Amino acid sequence: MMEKPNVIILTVDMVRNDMLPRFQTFQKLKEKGVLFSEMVTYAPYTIASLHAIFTGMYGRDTNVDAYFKPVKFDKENCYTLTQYLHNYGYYTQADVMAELTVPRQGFDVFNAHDENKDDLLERHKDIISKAFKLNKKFFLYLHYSNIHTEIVKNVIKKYKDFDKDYFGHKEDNLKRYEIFVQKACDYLEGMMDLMNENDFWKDTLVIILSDHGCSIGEKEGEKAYGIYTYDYSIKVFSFFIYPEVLPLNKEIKTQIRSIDIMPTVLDLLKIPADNAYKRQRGKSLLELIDGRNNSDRLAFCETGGLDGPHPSPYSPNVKCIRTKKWKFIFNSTTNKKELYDLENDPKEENNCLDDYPEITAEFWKQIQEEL
Amino acid sequence: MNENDKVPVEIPGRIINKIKKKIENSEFKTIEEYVIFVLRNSLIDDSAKSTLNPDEEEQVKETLKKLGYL
Repeated sequence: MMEKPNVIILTVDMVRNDMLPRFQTFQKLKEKGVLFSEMVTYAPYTIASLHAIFTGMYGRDTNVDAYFKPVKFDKENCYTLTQYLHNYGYYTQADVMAELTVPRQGFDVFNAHDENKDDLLERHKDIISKAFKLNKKFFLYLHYSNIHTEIVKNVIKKYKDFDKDYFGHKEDNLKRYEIFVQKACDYLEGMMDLMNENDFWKDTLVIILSDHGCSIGEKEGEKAYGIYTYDYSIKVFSFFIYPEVLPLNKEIKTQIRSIDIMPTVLDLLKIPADNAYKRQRGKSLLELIDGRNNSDRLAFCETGGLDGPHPSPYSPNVKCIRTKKWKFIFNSTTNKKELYDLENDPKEENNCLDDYPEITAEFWKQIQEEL
Repeated sequence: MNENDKVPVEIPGRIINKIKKKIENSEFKTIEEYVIFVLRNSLIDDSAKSTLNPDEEEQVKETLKKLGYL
């Protein structure tokens, strides 16, 4: 039986899904393994998104469904990916952007970097190199936060929520955002060089993912992320690289959810879920990789702005259900409902709720279960 | 009671008339929809903020400051 691999999860914070074809780096990563190019995050901001990824559960299970809720993480009943790996003898280490962004349970070493000062490429290369010198299997969680750093400085702190100087200059916003993504790609290239030079891919499962996207001014009222659930902030991606086991250069366009990542890691490592804890809502992606199934997965997403409106940031106020064709959104603060035909209206500009009463009624029924 | 059950509630006509006026040209298609909306938000009101104690609120604020939001 094959020994369990090392595991590295690397989050490139805030990379939109539509950046995939624009940067050669992502093509190079795809050549190393499997790209899930149609992933939907549970929440369009880091705190709730990462708690979902680390548990395979939605916020209603973990209690982390709003900016102010990571302190309420249900650690008694939610067993994290880190805890599973730690239990199987892994050394576990995290380098995060701040306390509370990731559940701490199960980590041997848990550090937060200074996103304004630290050189993340050098810092993370050092962490990886040291881990490979350990005489035991390891799990590393590394967070690349510099797009966040730049967006906070150049957008969130600079413009107001309905600022015409921002929403009237989408092309400039895109150019500025792409500069930040290019820096993230430089970081990823540096990490790939380290892995290539030392043959670190061997015996190692590397997952590279984006936790949420970002607005470039598409919808007034949301200059960055975390307020609404439109595709620019909820559509992301993940790469699974494990050359000894997974295929190379494979893109899977089936819709998946960020909550599917953890069950996939456990499935690859042949670690069974512990029934003493809450059940993971996500499902392993191996059946999509080996072609046993290619059904799109229904995705649920929710959010609430840090500055409100009520009941945010203590509870989410915007919820959505997304299939590959449809998106239904409900805003509990305004009672507004929206339905978009994503195949024919990918920019979500035409609310077609009244044109499809039966579809609306079905989604409304489903989303009420989340209220 | 089953979560999917529905029960009638008596609301004075004076309030019903005010609701009818309030929901004209709004997102609300029926009086029932508006009443459920108000009750739901009122219940979230009670449960959301009050669950955090002052220490927890301070911990979250520290994180949000570090992230550059506050």
